[in-house]
Amino acid sequence: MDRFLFRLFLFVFLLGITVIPINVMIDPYNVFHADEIRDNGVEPNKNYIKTKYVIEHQDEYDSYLFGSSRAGFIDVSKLPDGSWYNLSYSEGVPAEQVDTLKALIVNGEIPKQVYLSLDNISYLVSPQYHERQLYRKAFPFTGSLNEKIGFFTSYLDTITTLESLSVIRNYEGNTEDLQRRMYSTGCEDLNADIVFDEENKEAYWATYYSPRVDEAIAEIQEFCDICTAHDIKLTVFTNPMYVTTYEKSINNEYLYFLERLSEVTDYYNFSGYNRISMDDSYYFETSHFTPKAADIIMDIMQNGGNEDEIVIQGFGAYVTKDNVADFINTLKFQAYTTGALIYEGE
Amino acid sequence: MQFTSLAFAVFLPLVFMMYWAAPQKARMPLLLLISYGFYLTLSPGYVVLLILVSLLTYLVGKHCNQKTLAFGIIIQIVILAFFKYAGLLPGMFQNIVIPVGISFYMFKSISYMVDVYQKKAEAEEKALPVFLYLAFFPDLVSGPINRAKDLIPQLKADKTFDESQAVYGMRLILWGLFQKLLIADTLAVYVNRVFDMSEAFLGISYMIAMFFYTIEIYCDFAGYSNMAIGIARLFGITSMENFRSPYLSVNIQDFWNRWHISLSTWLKDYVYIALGGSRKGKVKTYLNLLITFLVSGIWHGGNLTFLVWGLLHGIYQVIYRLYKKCCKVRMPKILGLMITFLAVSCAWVFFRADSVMQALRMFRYMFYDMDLMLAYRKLEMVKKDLFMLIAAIAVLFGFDIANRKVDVLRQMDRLAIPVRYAIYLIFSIVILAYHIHNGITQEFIYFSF
Repeated sequence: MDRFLFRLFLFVFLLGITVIPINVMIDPYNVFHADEIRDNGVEPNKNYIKTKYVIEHQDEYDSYLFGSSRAGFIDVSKLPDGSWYNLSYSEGVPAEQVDTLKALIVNGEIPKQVYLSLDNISYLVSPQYHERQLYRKAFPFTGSLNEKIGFFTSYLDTITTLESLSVIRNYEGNTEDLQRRMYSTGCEDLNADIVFDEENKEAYWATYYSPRVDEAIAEIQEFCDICTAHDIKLTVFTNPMYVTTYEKSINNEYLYFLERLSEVTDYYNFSGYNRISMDDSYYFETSHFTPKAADIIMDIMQNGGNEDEIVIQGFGAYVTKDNVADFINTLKFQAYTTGALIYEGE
Repeated sequence: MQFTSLAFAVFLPLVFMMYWAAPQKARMPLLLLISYGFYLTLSPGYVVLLILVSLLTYLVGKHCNQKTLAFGIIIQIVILAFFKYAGLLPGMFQNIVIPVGISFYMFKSISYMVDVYQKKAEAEEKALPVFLYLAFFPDLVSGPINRAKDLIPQLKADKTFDESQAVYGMRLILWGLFQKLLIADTLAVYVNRVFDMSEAFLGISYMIAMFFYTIEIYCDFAGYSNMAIGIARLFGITSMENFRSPYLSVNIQDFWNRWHISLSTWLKDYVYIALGGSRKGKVKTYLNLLITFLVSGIWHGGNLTFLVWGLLHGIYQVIYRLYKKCCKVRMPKILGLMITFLAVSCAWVFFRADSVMQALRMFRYMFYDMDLMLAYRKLEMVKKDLFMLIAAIAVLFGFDIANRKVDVLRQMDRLAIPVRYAIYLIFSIVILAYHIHNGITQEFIYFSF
């Protein structure tokens, strides 16, 4: 029996040293290097890394910006009345944002104020889809030990690790800059030198996008309820989507989403046909807006803005239950005029 | 807690060490506690039902006569039927949850009572062996449906640790994991894609799904059985064989001697023979065959698809018997193998489909579009999955062919130790790598029966 057990444990040990070290050392998604993230050319799991960072540095922050990577170029260091951290990450969706907020609160960090940025991703992407994407997989901060072990075990994916080597080997990153940003504001590279590709104006769209407005609204409702329960000052806004992405979205229930959103929270709207969304200089590509556009939307939310023309276009409109009908009609009228929506009568 | 879960990987070594460290007298009660603990993780609300069924089984066995036997069997069938079919009725029972393993331990219970009545097994004086027989955790959830006369003496016997048995058990577990995690779970992704949205597919996609499911269900169920048998070996128990290279069968009768052997022998002994078997003329024999396979279909569930599946197999059996009787020409083995494989595959379509209409639609359009590359794209097949599946299925069938002549896992004793460990390590690394990479955890198919 002792010999059998010895051989069994030896075998498990051999298996372990074959599988574990290579995955932990290469760690393409930086999950095992969350405290010393490396810029290796592979998108890190920022959802996990950022949340872990702020939980461990609660004294440094009291205000948070939640959103998808589109909100990543909002310079939170310019936001007043608080010590801000940008918790945005690739394709962040409301259900995950609820979990992140709960994780902060359970770990003793009750935010003073929160900005929640929403757009078409918020209702087109199911959170379950991220469970199989290692760079978006949510860590169960409030989950069981079994779930937490399951999370790390999924990163012992030798096949993906070895496949990532072809990217890592040929990439020259700037680890110092990435660490500086991740461990200070959480923002993306605000000095990114990316010029909008005039040849590629197609809407940013993934094949797995599928409208789930009612589920997303319920998740946003939960987020709002948590903020109310903990006296967190919440500001909700919609991102200024590039015009072609916006057009495709309004043909996929985006206006219904905006209408339903007003039932759970008031919000600032920055989507639609306006001087920003139709100007390529405010975008890196058809998905992400630039820090210049981010500064404008933050200014409007902080100070009300001072360009009436923009407000008339719906850009920066403060939408409530009382004015949502007029607001939606404005956006519909814009869409009928451009032909993005076909008028079918009332 | 499934056999393929991380929790079970921690649970098994712990209970294994506890069992062998315990004094002989304490092992049976300990194993019973362990089995109930295991069952609690799967079906916490129904441990009481398992205990009550065990008590009924013990008492009927102790006071066995025609009346008590009939009472015992009827009660079991009523309970089983309630849980399996009440959900089909509208109303409050629609959300009823079937207790895990109920079909299996009820059949064990019935076999014990009947065997005691027919004096094929001894009625146990004490309750513990009967309780443990029904609750024995390796075969509790999905079989094999071990017979009391084979299992109870082993459970009662004093045992010393036999390393060769334990090593053989570990090899069975590894082979079962290979079948389940590498082959069955990977195939399930593509099978589910087609069956869950069958109207989005046509033609050769249906054919691929049919053959993929044929392999999937074999690897899923045989994989589970091998793990169950291997786990039993770790506790010094030899469980009955459940699969014996079934897709190398040369006729449908041969197939049922090799597929889910514990269920098919149970049905033969307690349904087919009870109906009269082949002793009452040709027509009665064929009718008994049809009824037996219908019962097999119904045992799987109330959906009409299971009934059709069972009926098809009954018809196959009748056709085969007629062919044997009428046709003097012996069919070449390879042709028999292909026809059997095809017949069984076609029947699996009904077994897997959500409805008979869905299955019929798939057959209707199966030859509609034979563009293989289009099917490959629609199924979103991944090249490395395809290569891995081809290699793994080749290993599977190679193993099955070799295993017909020799016990391959036993023959590994003849290899040098480094070679053996290298094989274990390679298998384990590949299984682990693909299992984690695919991120798939498919529940065992027979879990829901």
